[in-house]
Amino acid sequence: MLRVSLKGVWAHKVRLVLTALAIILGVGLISGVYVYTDTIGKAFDGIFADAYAGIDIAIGTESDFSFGEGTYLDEADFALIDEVPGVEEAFPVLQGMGVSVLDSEGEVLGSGPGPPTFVASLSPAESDGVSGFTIAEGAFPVGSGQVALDRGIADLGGFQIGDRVTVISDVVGRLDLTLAGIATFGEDNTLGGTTWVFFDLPTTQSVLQRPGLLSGGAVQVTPGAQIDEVIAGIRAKLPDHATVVSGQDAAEAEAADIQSALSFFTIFLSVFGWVALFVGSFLIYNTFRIVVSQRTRELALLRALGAGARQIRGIVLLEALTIGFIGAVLGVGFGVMIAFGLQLILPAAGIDIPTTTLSIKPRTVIVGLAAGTVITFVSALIPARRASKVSVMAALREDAPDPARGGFLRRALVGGAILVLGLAALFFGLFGDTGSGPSPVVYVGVGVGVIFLAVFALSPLAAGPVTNLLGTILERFTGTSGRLARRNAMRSPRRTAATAAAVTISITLVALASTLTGSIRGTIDEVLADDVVADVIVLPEGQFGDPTGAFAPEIADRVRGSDLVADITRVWVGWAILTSETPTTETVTETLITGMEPNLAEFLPPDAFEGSLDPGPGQVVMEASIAESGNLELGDSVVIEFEQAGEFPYTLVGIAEGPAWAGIIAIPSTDWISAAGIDQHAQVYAKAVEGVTADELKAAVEPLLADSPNVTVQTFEDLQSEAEAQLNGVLNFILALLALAVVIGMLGVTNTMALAVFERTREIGLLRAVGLDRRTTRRMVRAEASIVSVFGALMGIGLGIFFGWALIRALEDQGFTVFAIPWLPSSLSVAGVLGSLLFWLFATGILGILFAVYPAWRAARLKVVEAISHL
Amino acid sequence: MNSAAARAEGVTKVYGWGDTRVTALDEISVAFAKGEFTAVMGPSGSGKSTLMHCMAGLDSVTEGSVFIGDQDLSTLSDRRLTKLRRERIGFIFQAFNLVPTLSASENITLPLDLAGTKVDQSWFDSVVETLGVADRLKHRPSELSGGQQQRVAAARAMVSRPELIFADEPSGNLDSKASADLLDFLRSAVKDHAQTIVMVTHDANAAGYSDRIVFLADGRVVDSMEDPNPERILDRLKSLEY
Repeated sequence: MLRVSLKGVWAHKVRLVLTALAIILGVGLISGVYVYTDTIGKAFDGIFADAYAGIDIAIGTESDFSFGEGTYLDEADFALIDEVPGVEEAFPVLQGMGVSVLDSEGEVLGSGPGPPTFVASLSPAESDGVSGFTIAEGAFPVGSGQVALDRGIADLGGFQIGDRVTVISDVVGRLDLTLAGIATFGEDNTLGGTTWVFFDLPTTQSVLQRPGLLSGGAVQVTPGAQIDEVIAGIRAKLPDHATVVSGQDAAEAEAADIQSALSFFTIFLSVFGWVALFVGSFLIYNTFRIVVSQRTRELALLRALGAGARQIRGIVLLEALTIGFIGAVLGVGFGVMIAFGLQLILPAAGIDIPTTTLSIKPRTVIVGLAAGTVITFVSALIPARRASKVSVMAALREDAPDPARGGFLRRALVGGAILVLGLAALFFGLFGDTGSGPSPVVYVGVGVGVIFLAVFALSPLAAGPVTNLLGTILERFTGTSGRLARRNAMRSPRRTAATAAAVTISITLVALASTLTGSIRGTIDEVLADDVVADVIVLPEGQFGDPTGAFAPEIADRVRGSDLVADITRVWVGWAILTSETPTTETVTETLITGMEPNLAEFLPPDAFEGSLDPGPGQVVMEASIAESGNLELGDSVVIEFEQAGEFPYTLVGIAEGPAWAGIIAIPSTDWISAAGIDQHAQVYAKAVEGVTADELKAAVEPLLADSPNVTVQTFEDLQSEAEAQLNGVLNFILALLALAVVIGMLGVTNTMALAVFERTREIGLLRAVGLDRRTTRRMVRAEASIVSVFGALMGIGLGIFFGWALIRALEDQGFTVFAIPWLPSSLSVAGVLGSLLFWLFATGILGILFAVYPAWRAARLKVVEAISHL
Repeated sequence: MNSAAARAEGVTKVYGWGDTRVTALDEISVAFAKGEFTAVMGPSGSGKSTLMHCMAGLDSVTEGSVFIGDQDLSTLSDRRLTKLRRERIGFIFQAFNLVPTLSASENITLPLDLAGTKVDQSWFDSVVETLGVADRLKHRPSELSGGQQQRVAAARAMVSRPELIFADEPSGNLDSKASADLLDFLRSAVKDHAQTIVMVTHDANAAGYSDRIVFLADGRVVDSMEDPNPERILDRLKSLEY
């Protein structure tokens, strides 16, 4: 009896550790993300409080645009502030983006997907810290030949006061300057890893091509003045789009902006933690289900001794609560360690994010503890209910079979009905007209969740045949151990299905990510290969990061200067708000707007078009699906609002179809330039003269742009491989985050196998007695784990492909015309292989083997004599 | 001694340490002759099951040597020992003899399948025919009666033509009819096919089917009896204060 109970404790320990591990990992990821982003947020709070410390009142502007560059104030308006009573002095500031600093080699400093580069005016002020930055070394820049840099970038480039510094402006091109000063942000080298280039105000205005304009400024009030009154006075003098707030409010608002940007990041990352917990809930559910059926006799004995159903339920739920709570506590601790680790690792990896002491908010602890405990508790509800239904008679029966067999038809009907509901919700969300009801995202989310439920309800029906098939294949290679594994995997379809379910969820997401990337890659390849008639394209470096990235017009002139160039077309891209009105609906969207030349259609030939693709002033052309979603036809009017110039009426004169035009709304370049107030190109397409290849043209154009490292010349093959690399980068990032969910799903396999080995102790003893050696015993357990894992992966890949297909179909209007299932690796790189579905099918099989190493080892180590006399 | 199918020489088996130390076998020496049906009898705790486990290579001995034929088991690795068990020894346990996921037929051929040996179909047919399980071959163990399960186990023990079969209370859980059927079969296997069988039992009736009985008490051989019948056995057991 002692031996039996010791073994009970052993099984209990493994169960506790593995169940708790699922909670720890999931809660750890969620609370780690909270702690880390809270810490960054706290650091920024401090930074902005410092930045605005010397400012009584901050002047800014607001804009209707979410993605635009911001609006401006006239210098003349700003000058009126001086007349307001209580104003001691007003300091104007102009700030923008679109410059890069070159190093001594002529390459862009600190390029890549890091924090952005800003350009700003910096003028001597009586009080330090008017813009947060002060000159720490050297002098303020004066005149068009002088520049100041933040200390971070100055150190990175090795610049000293008096050195020559080259800065490239997206609008005015190359500037050769002298470094007059080095600025610091309070105690810090710079603001949160960003790069800053400072000029005096007139130079800033000319570099940004915003003559006579300001972003805002700072005001100091006379001693004793009432700030509220001064604010009211200033507001009365300025146009409506100006904002006037106290320095303290401005600091809080800026910090809040950062917080909301961070919260997107927090939500995005913690989603993966929730997914991990969701996967973990299946593990927990399955563990308790198995434990309850293992303890049927023990529970029945308790019933016989007078325990009520509620008490039995209580016993199981209490155990769940305990494990959940312990796991959650450890998980929060693990999360703090993750955050601490990120603080150490990221700066070492060159990612300069401001930081401070770890910020552990009550919210983090509450959410972490509640998530872990509640999810464990809820996952154990059904098993607990089943435990309470154990009959007293079960105690007297010799064998305690897995209860609730059969019900095939009922399960098929109920599962099928749920599936239909889920599909209906999904398709309605994706393709239907949701009208004034909840947003399509809600329908899609509910649909996906319900489809998951349906698949899990139906999966026990498939578990038998599918594991049989998988096992039969395996049996070919492994003989008897394969047959035993196959039969074991088939013996409880519900258990197999529940174990596989945890694998299914994570593999669904992996397959969905792979299918989406595969389809996007297919779309890009199609567009680049078939639909663009150009040999090379000139782009800003890092085009994929910012669609409105641009470069100065001189670049196009130089490209045109090459003898090998037959023709070019220039493309301008910016943001606009498009309003299309029909008698019944009004559609308002903030969208990219393209400035085009008449020959654009020669470079991007549409599959078909109506009207004209050469719009005149006040005329717009667009891709067919955009027109469709706005219910627009040729000759209809739309209103286009530009951030700087305001609203203008336009007439739709052309509708183009085909992938090359996907997402394009275009107006004449002259309209674009006058509305934006600046002239800068987003892309330049070039065709080679007869007989010259794309590579030859690239080789000819590149030297012409050698001094402009902010642009890159690419053939379409280059673009294709760059797009591929970008996509793979995104996919790898998502896969890295999903890895945790995959691991937890596989831990479920470990757990089930460990419990199964314990349950089958006698059987294993018998097999060992009649001639199963240790190696084959291990192989048998691992093979079963592999079969169950691959079954889960098959369901996951199926679901992932289906969801991917549905999404791509729903996004067809946005230009996602290709649906591709990436069965095979797209390339022989690591990233290419990771995107392949067959790889994941194979990998889960291997992972199944790896995650069953421990239970297999336990099984092989069983002492034969003890095992056959095990009760 | 060379005619022995299996023998133990000065075997001691000790479980536990210190206060919980139990000597299950105390320098026991015993031999089981080829082609003989030997019964091992003794009261609970006499060491009869331990003796069987040690001689069948299921458990290791503390001291002494165990031989199957001329093979000293103590020199074998677990892998070689497993191979020896499936090739040279057959087992019939008291209960839980069959793998629940395999059909009767698959259970019978399990040791051969594990060894990768081809099944001798005519021998298989004759064994299952004799045991009366030929029409139950496709069934799972849960679909068989207790007597049928034990006869399937006996068929498994026979089908690989092992040098000897160890049976641990094979009829212990059966009613008298099923018990008699099984023991008759074991008896005839010895008579017709010169099969060596060692059966552990505390049932005088069952032991009555054997050629020879070895009596154990306190981990030692205390007596033996040739050509036993139930009356003599009961008398002997009485004299051993059983």
